[in-house]
This record gives sequence, C-alpha cells and structure tokens, in this order.
Amino acid sequence: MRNPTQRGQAAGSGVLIALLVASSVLGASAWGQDDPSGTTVIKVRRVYTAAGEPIEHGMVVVRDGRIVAVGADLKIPEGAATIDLGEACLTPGLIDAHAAIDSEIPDAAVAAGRRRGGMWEQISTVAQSSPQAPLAAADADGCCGGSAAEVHEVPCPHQAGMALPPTCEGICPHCGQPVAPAAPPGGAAGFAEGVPRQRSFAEQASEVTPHLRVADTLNLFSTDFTRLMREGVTTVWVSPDSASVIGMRGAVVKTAGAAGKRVVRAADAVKASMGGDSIRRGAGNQMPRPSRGGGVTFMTRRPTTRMGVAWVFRKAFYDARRAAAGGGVSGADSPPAPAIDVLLAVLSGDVPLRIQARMQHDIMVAIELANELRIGGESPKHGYRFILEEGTEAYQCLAELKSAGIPVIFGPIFDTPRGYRGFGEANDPRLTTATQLRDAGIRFALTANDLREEEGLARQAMMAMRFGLTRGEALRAVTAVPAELLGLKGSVGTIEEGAAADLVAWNGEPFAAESRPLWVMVDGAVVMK
Amino acid sequence: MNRGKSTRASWRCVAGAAIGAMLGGMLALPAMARDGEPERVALTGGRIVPVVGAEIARGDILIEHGKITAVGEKLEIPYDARVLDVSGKTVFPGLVVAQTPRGLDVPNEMRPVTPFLDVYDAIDPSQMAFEEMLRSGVTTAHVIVGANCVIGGVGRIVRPVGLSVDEMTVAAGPALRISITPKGGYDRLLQMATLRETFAELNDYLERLAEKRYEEDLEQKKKKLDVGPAEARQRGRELVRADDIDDQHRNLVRLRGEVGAAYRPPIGRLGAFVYCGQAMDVGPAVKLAKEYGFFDRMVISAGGETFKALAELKSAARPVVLPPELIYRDVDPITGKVTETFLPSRYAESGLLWALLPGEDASLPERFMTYQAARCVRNGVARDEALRAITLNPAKILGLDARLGSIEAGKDGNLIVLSGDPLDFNTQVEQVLIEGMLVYERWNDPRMKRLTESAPAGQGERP
Repeated sequence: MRNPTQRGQAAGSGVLIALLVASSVLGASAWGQDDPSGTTVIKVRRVYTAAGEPIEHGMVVVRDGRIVAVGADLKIPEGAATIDLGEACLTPGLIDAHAAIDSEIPDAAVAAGRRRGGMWEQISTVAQSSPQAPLAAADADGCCGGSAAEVHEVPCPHQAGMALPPTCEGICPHCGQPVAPAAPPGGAAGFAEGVPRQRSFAEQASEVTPHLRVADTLNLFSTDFTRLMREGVTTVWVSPDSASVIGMRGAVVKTAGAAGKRVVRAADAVKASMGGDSIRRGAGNQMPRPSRGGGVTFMTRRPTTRMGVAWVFRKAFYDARRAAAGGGVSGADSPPAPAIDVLLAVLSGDVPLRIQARMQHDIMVAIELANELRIGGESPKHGYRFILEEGTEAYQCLAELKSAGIPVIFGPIFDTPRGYRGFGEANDPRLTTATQLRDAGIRFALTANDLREEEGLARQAMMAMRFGLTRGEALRAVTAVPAELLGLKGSVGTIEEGAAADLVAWNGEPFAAESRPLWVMVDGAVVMK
Repeated sequence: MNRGKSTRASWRCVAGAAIGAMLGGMLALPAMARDGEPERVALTGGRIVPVVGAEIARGDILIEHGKITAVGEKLEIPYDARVLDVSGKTVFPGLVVAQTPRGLDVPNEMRPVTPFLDVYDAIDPSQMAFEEMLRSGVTTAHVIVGANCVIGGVGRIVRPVGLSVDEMTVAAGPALRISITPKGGYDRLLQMATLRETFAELNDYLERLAEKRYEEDLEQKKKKLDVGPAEARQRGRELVRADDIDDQHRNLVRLRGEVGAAYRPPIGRLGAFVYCGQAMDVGPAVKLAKEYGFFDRMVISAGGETFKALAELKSAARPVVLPPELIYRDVDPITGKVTETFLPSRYAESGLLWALLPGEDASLPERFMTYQAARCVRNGVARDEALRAITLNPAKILGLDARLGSIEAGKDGNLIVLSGDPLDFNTQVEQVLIEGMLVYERWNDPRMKRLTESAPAGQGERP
C-alpha cells in the first residue's frame, strides 16, 4: 500500500482491488486499531458529510473510533494506515430512528397466538421449511379457511415471503398474485425459518408500560442487525411495538461492532400509539365474542375504540400527576406504580415522547393531548412535545405540525398499503409527503421501519428523491436529522471532527438505483468490505 | 412549421382526452386510430437508447403507420408528420413483460389440466394492472395463466390499452403453461403422473381419431372395413384434419411435436412456458419436452432455487424467464443462516437468453422493470445486458423480436419517453407511444396526480 505504483494500480483497477490490496497489507480486522498509531486515513472520490457541502477527493482521518479530521488535502499523520476506496462515495452511517427489529427470538407464545389467529402481524417472516411445518395450522384460519372479512385482517403471507401450504389454491387471497408452491425442505421463500419469531415487543400485562425497556428483549446477534448494517444503516432506534397506548422505551443501538459497545442508550424515548394499533394489534383487544368464548378476559381489556385510546393516554398522565401530588391512583386502567415515575419524566421533558400515528385525525388528537397535558414541560425541553412517527397522512396537517413544532419521523414511502399498513389506516398516502414536509419547514427524518433491502432506509431516501428531495436533503433525512432527534447531534449522523467513525462507502452516488454500500465502518472498525 | 405546431397541439388534445378516458377504462384504440392517429409521427431531438446499436446523443425517430421507419441524427421530417419534441428527454424501447398472470381475474383454475383454456376469455381490460404497466413503461405483455396448475391455458400477447381483448391483442398466445413444480394440493408424484397421463391420453385420442376417420371414410365410400384396427389407425392418420380435433386436445396437439411413432395432424404450433420452481424440476422438464417433441419451443419459467440447476439449463440452452424476486435465500435448516444469491448475475454469466420480470407490485421500486435492471447493474451485470433483459430478450422469448424490443427501422413504434436515463430511479416515464400512438402522458395520469398532490385546503382543521 505504501508503494506508490501499487497504489496507482489499485485505484485504477477499482475499489475491490484496492480493498484486496489494503486487506492483504493491513490484515483483515479492524483497520486503524491494529495500527500502532491507531490512525486510519480513508480516501474516496467524494465525501458527503451531511454537515456541509460534499468534499471532492476527500479524506477522513479516524483515530480510536472517532473522526479526527475531514477535508480534501489533509496532511496524512505519520504512520497512519490508508484505506483507498478509489471511486467510492462516502456518507455517514445511516440512522433509522424508528426501526422495527426482528429479534429472531423463537417465541412459543407467538406461535400459539398465530394458531389462534389475530396475531399475524407479530410474526415477521415465517415460511414453512417442510410441508408439515406449524404453518399448516395458521393457514387453516389465515389463508384458505378464513372468511372474506377476516382475510383482510391478516397481512399477505405471500408478500411477507411466505410459502403457502399446498392446500391453498391458485392465488393468494390477500394480494391476488399466484402463489408459489410450498417451499422446498430447507429451501427458502423469503427467510424460511420454520420457527415463528418475535418481532413485536408488546407487553400485554398492561396498556401503559413505559417502565419496560425494549433493550431487555433485544437480541444483539439477530441477523436483522446484520441485514441493516449491510444496507448501510449503522445506528437504529429500536422501536417498541405500537400495540400499547403508552408503550415501552426504545433503545439506541449500533447495528455492528463489539457487542458490549453496541447499546448506545438502553432506555430512550417512550413510545405511544394513537389510532387503531393498540386496539387491533394487541393480543386481540376485542369485544367479548361468542366465537372466543364470549367471556371478558384479559384479552378483552380496553381500549376497543379510538376514544378509549385517547382516554387511556390522558388518564395515565392525570394519574401520574395525581400520584405526584400525593393522591391515590385507582381503577382498572391505572398505570402501574413504576410507570408513574417515567410518565412524570415524560411530563417534565426528561424523557422524550414519541407518538406513532398514521391518519390525520390521530395526528390531530396526539397534538391536542400533548398540548393539553403539557408534555415535555410548560415550554418543552427539547423544543417539541413529542416526535410523530410514521405520519402517513402528515401531509394533511402540515400547518398544525408546523405550529406545534412537531418533528416527524416519516415513512415508509409507499402507494400500495400492505402488511399491517393494509388495515385501512394507510390507505391515503402521498408519494410527495417528504417534499411537502420540507416545503412546510417541518423537521423530518425518513424511516423504513420494518422494511429492508429494496425498500430499506437507503431506498426510502432514493424514493424520496424520486418525488422531490435533493440528494443532500435525502441524506440528511437519514443521517443528521435522525441523529438530532435522538439527541446525538455531532456524535453520529455526520462526518465531522469528534463524531463516531460510522461510515459507509457506496460504489457510486449514494441512494442511486445502481449503487449499493460496499464498505461499512462502525466506531472505527471495518465491519463490511 | 405553423401547421406542424397547430396539429401537434390538437393531437395532444386528443391524446390527453384519450388517456383520461383510458384510465377510466374507456379508451377504444381502433376508434382512436380512425379519428386521431397520425400516419406519421416524429420524435425529435431526444437522446436515443436503442438497445441494439449505439446510443444517439441527440436524434430523431420517425414512425410511419405504426412502424419505425428511420432513426438517426437530423432526419428529414415529412411535412405532415406530427412532431413530438423530446429534446432533453431519453427515448427507450417500450418494455416487454415475458409472462404475467396480471390482468386476469384469477391466475389459475382449480382444475389441474386445462390446455383448452385461453386467457382471451379472462383478460379484463379495465384491470389496474394494465394501467400500472403503462405508467411504468410496459408496452407489451404476455398474459398467461399462473403456475399453479399441471397444464394451464394458452396466453396472449397484449398491449396494455384497449377496451376489449381484441383491441389489446398484439399476437395470439405463443405457448401453453405447464408446471413441473407441483400444483397446490399435489406432490411431485402426482404432478408428473398427471402430465404423463395427459400426453398418453392424447396419443390414445389421436389413434382413436385416426381409426374413426378411416372408418367414416370407408362408410362414405360405401366400402366395408377391410383391415384390422391397427392398420385402420395407420391409414386413418392422413385423413385427420385440424378441424377433427376437439377443443380438449387441440392445444396439446399443437404443442406436441412429431416424436417416435406419434403422428401430427396439420395444425399450428404452440410452445410451452414450463414452470420449474426448483432446481430438481429442470431435469424432468427437459425430459418431458424432448419426449413430447416441444423442446425447441420450450421456455423455462424459473423460480428462485432453479439457478442451482444452471449446468442443466446451460446444456438445454433454452431461454429462461427469471422470477420477480431476484434474490434467492438459502436457509440452513439447522442454524437458520441465510445465504443470498443474486440470480441475474448467475444467469448473465451463463450465456443463456434470460428476461427480467417486474418485481412485487406492492414494492414501489421493484415494480419498475427499469429498477430491476438497475439492480442487475448494481450487482455487476453489464448495463447493455441488463437493458436487453427488459426489452429485446423478452421480445425474443415471445418470438416477436422482429417487431419489439429495440429502436430500429422496421420495428413497431413502441417507445417510452423518459425524463432521464432508464436506470436512474429519479427518471419518470413521461410519455408512452404504442405503435406510434401516444397512449400515456404522466401529466394526464389521474392516479399519479392524486399520489403527488398536496392535501386540499381546509383539511386538517378540527372544529
């Protein structure tokens, strides 16, 4: 690498060869840390810093997992290792501030729930690995045997990459596409597992659970993190499930690196949910139904309407205030005692609040409740009372969001709702919502939530560009802005002095259809090349 | 020039009205052809990506009577040609979909063996699928029944505009659908047994038919039966005419070639799109096709895992239509570890003739064939090859490469006008011409308007 002729050849023959040369000289692991000086210089064709203008033929100097210098003509420190990525473009590692992580924890309860029906959406991607796999039971009510009304209550297993059992005829009842025959033994239609896995983190013990932490159920070795990292996402806010009105606390996690260092913040913002998710997606918060025994059980707990959702939300905070004032808290809907401390912290602004809402009226109710309860303090500590998540119909209440100063983590972008978004709350999306948020001057980030690959975060940025964002704006919406919203400004999401060395090199312009991440660094360690 | 301008404007008007009507399911193509279709159309000043031959940075295309008659720089435009100024735009051949069940009300029948079906009876011109095709630049689609069958029906090659199937038809279906991968409810034993049984029954039928024809012939000539049944069957063969074959068997006879002792009545040919969802299906498919004499007219519809039989596919050297999902994931049954294979890379290396399909409809990027091609380039497939896989290759597979798949003189005037490079995701399909007729304009597409508009004023206010 130090040989100029060799370097010239490497640059000329493309990035891969450069990488090969680099790895053969420097060894495969953790460049920059094996080096005596602990300093690594990364050279690329263009550096998108997300903090300013792109730098042509830029260099980034990394030491001890942090960026120490960025520029075009930097003096290379003595003894520094060089990683010449040739024609690649460099961006900060992407940040999904609203990621649904497949924890890949086999979950018997989920399997049981699926057999019972009504918990389909909690199963991320299940395919049968053999014809007699447990799926047969699920499909008895989900695919073939279900009534027309119920068919639409489950996401399309065909689209979820699931093979349908041989008993299903012809077309998928959900998407109308022809159904591929059963997957081969051990083969894959989508991510065949055979074991139902847990994606959602919804605790059913109570509707108000802000004292629970997603971090406690996180499987840091889930391949979902690897998948995200390979798509260029280096930091995620692991979202709790939206099946509770006031749910759990999310966690900020790096998608790669040493396991001990990956959890950036174990107890972050509290997630709440306005709209139908807690009604529909909880373990069936349903009216007592003859078909389910007719009795009132924990399965039939409140809320069962949007009015009930707003009530549970409002009452939780009033109860917290009352408890703080020394008053007693009673009633079936009361928050558990440990939750009250967290609710008070939300009210004072010490713990940020997020509210997931898709439809316009849900967003409006969220704003009203936040104002009424003075969430975040009289004048909110973070500058906002809450962060809006998803916001499918945010384009319908731009003025209200703007005047309330609510930032939006918008996404995913789609025009054909499916999965749990196909339940009816997301039937009126716009492709230009990101552009409209920008034009309205509302701070927004983009999220892919549970989508990966061609609809993953980088592709969300690509789609936002198709419908009006510039590359710079799209980049900021998946790097610098989510970093700000996570309270990690200057620490992740930008390539600047002092920030963590979370970097992604693309084999072309970032977010172009023809380019992909080909090299990823997290905290100064190369995790993909 | 003055004249040119005014006619252009009025034609735009017609086309604009037409697209509005079409998206409401109202376009009558022949009617429009009578009233509004110009005999000559010229696209001027655009960047031309012809798929075959070199790109033209700034060129003109002349379409006369629906066919491209000239492509080049600074063409002489006939005085009566309607001029479409496409400077700053990119002109690309209309995309070709090699197979799709979209546009049918149901992709497959319940019955396993239905060679007598023709999608002609089931194509619904008002289906959203056709609208979506136009919007994404598809000008030709081979609509054929899905793979959940033993023997499905005959497809049809259509353009995504028209009020009736007849108006939409580009060509009658070139092929029957056959599936080697078991149909729902079947296993491989039953699937293969049913296929063999069907062809065996076809033999019996033809023998009986020959015998019957011979006997009828004698009867007509008022002669007595003079030979045994075997000889009668032999003699009757040349008496069998195409009309004698019943509907149940007609397409199978068209499919089957002259192999072994079987005879072939004078009847048109038909190929087969054979679905091989897995690698293990390729061998039986090839064997079946050779045994019944349609090997030279067989197209493999591949599933994800099929690429593992690439050696067999290569020695068969038949064209392959890739599955919509371009990544195959192999999951270790014990550890759950996933190994990914990007299929087009493997097929591109193989030297086979291969075609891409649009991806999953619900996925915004993947539903564009141009994006599927861009993914190929992203993963190392040569740009030219990726572009061919959505245009010329499917045209070849459908036997229509003399008419479709590239911008060359003599081909149909199927062109898409793009705002930029075909593989750039920021590129929008702005206009679509089918056989020289402007059938789509982005700015007159009500669905796109709705999806990109702002909320009407007043919304978002709560009392």
